[in-house]
Amino acid sequence: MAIPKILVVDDDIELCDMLATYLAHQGFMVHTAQNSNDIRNHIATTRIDLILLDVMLGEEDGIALCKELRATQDVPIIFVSTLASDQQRVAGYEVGADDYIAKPFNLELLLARTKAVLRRGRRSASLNYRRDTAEYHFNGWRYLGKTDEIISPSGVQISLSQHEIRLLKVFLANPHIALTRDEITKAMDVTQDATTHENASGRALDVLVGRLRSKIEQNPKSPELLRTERSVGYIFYADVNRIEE
Amino acid sequence: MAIFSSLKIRMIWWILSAMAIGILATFMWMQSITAWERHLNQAYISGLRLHHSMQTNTPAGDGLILTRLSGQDATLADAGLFTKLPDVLASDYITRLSINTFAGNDDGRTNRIDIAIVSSALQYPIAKLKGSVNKPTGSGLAELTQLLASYCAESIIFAKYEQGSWYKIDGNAIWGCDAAPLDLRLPALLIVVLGLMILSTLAFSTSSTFQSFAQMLANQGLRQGTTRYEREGPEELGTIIDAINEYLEGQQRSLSKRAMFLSGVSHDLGTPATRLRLRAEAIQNDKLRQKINNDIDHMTGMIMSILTYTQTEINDEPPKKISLFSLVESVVADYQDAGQSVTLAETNLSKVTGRTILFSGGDKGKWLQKPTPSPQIVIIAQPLALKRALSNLMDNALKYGRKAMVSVEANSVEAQIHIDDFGTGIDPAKLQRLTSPFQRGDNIGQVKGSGIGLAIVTTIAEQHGGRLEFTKGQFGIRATLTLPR
Repeated sequence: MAIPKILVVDDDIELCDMLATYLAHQGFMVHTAQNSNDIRNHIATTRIDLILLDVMLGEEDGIALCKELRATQDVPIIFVSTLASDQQRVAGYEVGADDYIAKPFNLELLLARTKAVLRRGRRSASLNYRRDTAEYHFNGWRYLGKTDEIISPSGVQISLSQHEIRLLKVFLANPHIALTRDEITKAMDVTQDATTHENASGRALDVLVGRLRSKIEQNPKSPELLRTERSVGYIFYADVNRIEE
Repeated sequence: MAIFSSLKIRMIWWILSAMAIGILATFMWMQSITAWERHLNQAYISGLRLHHSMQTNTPAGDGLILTRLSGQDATLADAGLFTKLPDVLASDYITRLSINTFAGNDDGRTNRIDIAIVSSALQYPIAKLKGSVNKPTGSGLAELTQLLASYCAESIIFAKYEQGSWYKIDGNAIWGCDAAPLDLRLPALLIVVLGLMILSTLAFSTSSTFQSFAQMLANQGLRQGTTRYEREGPEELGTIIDAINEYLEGQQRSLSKRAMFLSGVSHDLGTPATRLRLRAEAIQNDKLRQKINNDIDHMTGMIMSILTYTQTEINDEPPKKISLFSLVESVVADYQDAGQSVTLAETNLSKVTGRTILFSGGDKGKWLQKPTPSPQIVIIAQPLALKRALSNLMDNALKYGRKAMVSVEANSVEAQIHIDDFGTGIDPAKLQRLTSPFQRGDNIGQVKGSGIGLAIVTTIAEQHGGRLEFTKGQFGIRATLTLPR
């Protein structure tokens, strides 16, 4: 496998260079860019596997830039920013960022997340891994991919934990198909946020399914949506409607 | 209505309409009284005319029709059998009386008039007539016709003057019901009462717009985050609301300015801090590098929490209809998934099952067993801010009390989230003090923190119209976040 190429974008040249040096030491090919023109030049001339993008690029807005890139590019993007409030994170995810790291960051953390996003990108050939910003409708429920919100038929927002969201995404992608526990666990691993690495397996998955049932089932004791498929695993029994923007 | 927009104009309108109502009612009242007086007077005069005409056997004139009874009918009348007469029904009421009057002669002799009043409606209360004896010229008869006029009924009089003949007298054109004027006294009273009711309702509703706004202001207060109030009610209230809105907008502007400034500062600090971290990578001495990294962590942690605090103050997250229970559950689950010892206590709400008592036993009951939805506790709130508040409380509990136990309670007016820790616990009163920014407890020891976490929680609680309280819990300190429903 080729050495991953990373494009570091930050308007502070010194920081840009130091980060490039650090990542180069970790075994990546690194290019740097200070503005949107630099980025376009790099993308036009070479293969880029990942962009580390600052949200505030001097006069330019990284969020808008990301949106623009997303329109034409599939390249994974990690936001690196000093603006790290919940709302700003959500704004980043909404325009299709793969991850959002607060600056100043812990270098090990940055490295771990960079690797995780790259790993996810490699599996993209077989699985739809990218943060999906579409809206899903099933049985009167709505799932908003942009903000990871799920809204009940009566219009109440139900909060899901990170793991529950990941599990739901796996089911939404595979309605009416019996999935083994192993398949679910693997798929969850791929969709997972790079921050946590432990995966739900076996018993833990059953517990997680129970938790999700308690939130989306009319009667969690006799589930209609998330049914247990004897000797296989689980099956998501709903007509899922994916609504693109 | 634009013309009623100002309180001044409203009041003028009220006064004018009250006056108009008063004038109208008085006019109607007076009108009725004079009309009735005239009516009764006419009846009185007609009585005098009747008397005169019977006495002199001359026609009585307008409105009075005298018909002499035939011989056969006169015999019946003499026998008192008035119901047998033509035009009289057996069911009619007969009022009989006789009147003695001076004839107007000088001999002092009185004349006697026999009278029978036939009416389908009533027997006339002739006792009301003031002593029918010894009245001068026909005034007795006049009083009788006046009495007839005061009732709304048709009547026929049969009368015989002395030994003269029986007459059938129809005077309904004068004292009949149709001749009576309209009595507008009751409608006048009704107009006054109705007018007063309408006016007082208007006055009450005007005063209640002030009241309800004052109530709203007292409930929501001028607390941060309430951006503006809807303009309503009269002009004067609108002016007050505008002033309050202006104040709130100014507040919001200065908050945004401060947040802009702080986020600018933190951005400017963040970049050198990141550089510092990258430079520290080059330090060969592991111990020294670790220490520098810790310092940077501490610094950046503070920057982060100040940013969060200002972001919280700006309060720009749109409120949504959310399930509070699922929100608490999801935060707890995230902590559990990260390996933290946070537990969610069984909520008594979740024990509410829908099984009907009638079929509670056996499998038959299952048919009727309603699904048991998780207790939702639906509230209008800002989910991200609430999650932030809960995380801060749980972080605190974990930092100072090793473990956290979360429980949710709700009734119809408010919902409470309790977070119990298992620490040595400091005085809850002291903890309450920690809800202002940059205050830290005595038991911090080696624990790092910026002392801003609880201030954030308090701000979020207040923005939701709720509060944060600390009490001595079962195991350590109990933090309670109360939110109105």
